[in-house]
Amino acid sequence: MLLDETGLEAAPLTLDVLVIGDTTDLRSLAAEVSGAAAIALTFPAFRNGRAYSQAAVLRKMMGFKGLLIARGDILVDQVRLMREAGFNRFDVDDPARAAAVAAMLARPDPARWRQTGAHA
Amino acid sequence: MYRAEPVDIAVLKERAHDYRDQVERRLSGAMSEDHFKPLRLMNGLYLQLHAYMLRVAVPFGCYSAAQLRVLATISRRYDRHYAHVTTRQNFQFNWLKLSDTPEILDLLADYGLHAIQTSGSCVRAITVDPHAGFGRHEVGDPRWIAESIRRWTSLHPEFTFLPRKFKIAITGDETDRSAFRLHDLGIQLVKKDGEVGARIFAGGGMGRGPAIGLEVVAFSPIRDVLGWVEAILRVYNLAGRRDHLYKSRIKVLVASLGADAFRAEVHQAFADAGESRPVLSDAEYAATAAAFSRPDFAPDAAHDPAPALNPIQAHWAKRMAIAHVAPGYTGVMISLKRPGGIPGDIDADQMDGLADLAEQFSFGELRNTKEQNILLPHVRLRDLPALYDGLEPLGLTATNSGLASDIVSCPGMDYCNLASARSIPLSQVLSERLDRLGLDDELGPLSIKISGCVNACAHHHVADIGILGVDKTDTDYHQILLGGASDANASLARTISKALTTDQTADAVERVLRRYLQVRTDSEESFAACVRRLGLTPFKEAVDAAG
Repeated sequence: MLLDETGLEAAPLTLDVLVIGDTTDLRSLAAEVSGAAAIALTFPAFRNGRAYSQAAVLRKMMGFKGLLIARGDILVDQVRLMREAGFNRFDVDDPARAAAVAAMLARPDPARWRQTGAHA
Repeated sequence: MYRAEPVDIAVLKERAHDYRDQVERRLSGAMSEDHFKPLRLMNGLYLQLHAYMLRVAVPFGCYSAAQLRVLATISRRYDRHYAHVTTRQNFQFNWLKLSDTPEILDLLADYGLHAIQTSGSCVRAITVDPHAGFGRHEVGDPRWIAESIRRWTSLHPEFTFLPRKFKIAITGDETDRSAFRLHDLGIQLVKKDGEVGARIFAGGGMGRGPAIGLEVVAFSPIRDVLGWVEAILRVYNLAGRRDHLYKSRIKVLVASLGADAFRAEVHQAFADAGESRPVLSDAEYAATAAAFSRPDFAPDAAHDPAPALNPIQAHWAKRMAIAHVAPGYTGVMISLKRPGGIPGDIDADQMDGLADLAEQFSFGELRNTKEQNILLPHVRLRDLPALYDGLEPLGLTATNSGLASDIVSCPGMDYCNLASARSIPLSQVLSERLDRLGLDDELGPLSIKISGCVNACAHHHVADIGILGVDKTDTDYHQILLGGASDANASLARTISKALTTDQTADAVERVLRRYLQVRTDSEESFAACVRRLGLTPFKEAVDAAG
């Protein structure tokens, strides 16, 4: 099931999705990224946080504005961090987990200490 | 001292609320331990040999009398009437029940305390020079930039699931008491053309496979420090290994890339970030600095007559008082190392008593040091006799700061399921031996650090005499290392013994100390300087010369 950033079920994708592995150097995919409308990043295990940085690079440095999809081992308690990191779609297979993820996304971002620097 | 604002408390209360929900899901079985573990670690809750252990974050080791009292309350209500000061300036409770932890976190939140990011693969508590804000030779107060970094890295969406833990240490003084060269990221505030900025190191570490870090940035303006921290974390997060638990720290990445290549990657990441780079504006930095309120030092303290100390108090003050930038004031070290005691432990009555004394004599401020002691930062010199008289009935007048009996020891196998050997019994035998020998003053500055395993939580690699617990049989065995230092003479201690029992180790350490007294040029030559001059051989011979 594909959820959007507010926890609602999103329309199924009709676009081509550029799937990028967690160990891929994004600098080598500049052309593909600029032509993509949807990119999926992978969390092979919930402890593996490379994709958070890949999301940051895509959104902040490569100017990617399309759909950024989180796939893989996603813990309920991680999805708001993922959203803050730039993901706006969440691919969750297990229906029970999907419901919990949706409920978590419906909550606002976690309370933050006072902003320091530019939390872009 | 840092003042928590309402927004800070709101953050903590929400976290405590989320955590309570997570614990309920765990206790009801709705969540597995496998999924609960990273969540409880994010709130500093470890499962040890006998019970749950909570590591309370003490920002830069700084806390208030009121906060110390609530820690005493927690120790009485939920633990065994004591707390432990850690080698990263935090407090630990060792005997907690999981079901009590939501209430504990809630209570801590009311006092601006928490256990967020004291565990897990994230940026951990930032440690600083304990003389921050009052040291006479300080270029800048390290707590301001530490607080800026703390806020920026707390629950950061990009850096919450790093390959492994990430530890930062910061000093504002040329004489380093923070061990910043031995951390994943270290900062030394320095002056260049009249401007205070940051010298930034990365890739150091004191755990398995210790490493001295490399300088990545010689001078960064304050406004760019967060940008550099981001660059270093991003390079690490993307390229750090995740396939092997013991090869996942940034020091391994630095070693595999090589210093020049690593530096180049960081500089490239900094440049690539462009406009998205976090910038610490002058206004924001000033606001953070203002949040560390300076006490109202009495202007006439400069004219106080010298304190009227009796001989015992004078001896204590000579060793335990620390030069202070405000005339008429002094810092005072409180040693938690007594003969036969457990290094770093402080009981509930001592906590309450010390809180009262801090309120009366130190503007309510206290600090934890990485040597597992407590420091009162702002004591009026004329109050030293009264302070001593207040400390005495609490049993807190041990006069051994920086001396041989000021032993640093990890909890070891008595508590920790990672340990190879117990550390506490050896520290007790050694401290009693040193007390009997009465050589503390004669030996001069000397650090003895005891780790129970290669994780090196007591930082034995950077001790004059480091002791490592090794796996043998049911008996505790230890190896002795010599010649470590974490300051400008940074060096990693080297092994000079085979595996020895606890008693053999104590005997061997005594022989090393006696050898030093024999071979030093004079009483001015410190143990560290003597080892640098002579090398390990004379001391190895002393170890091997078992009677």
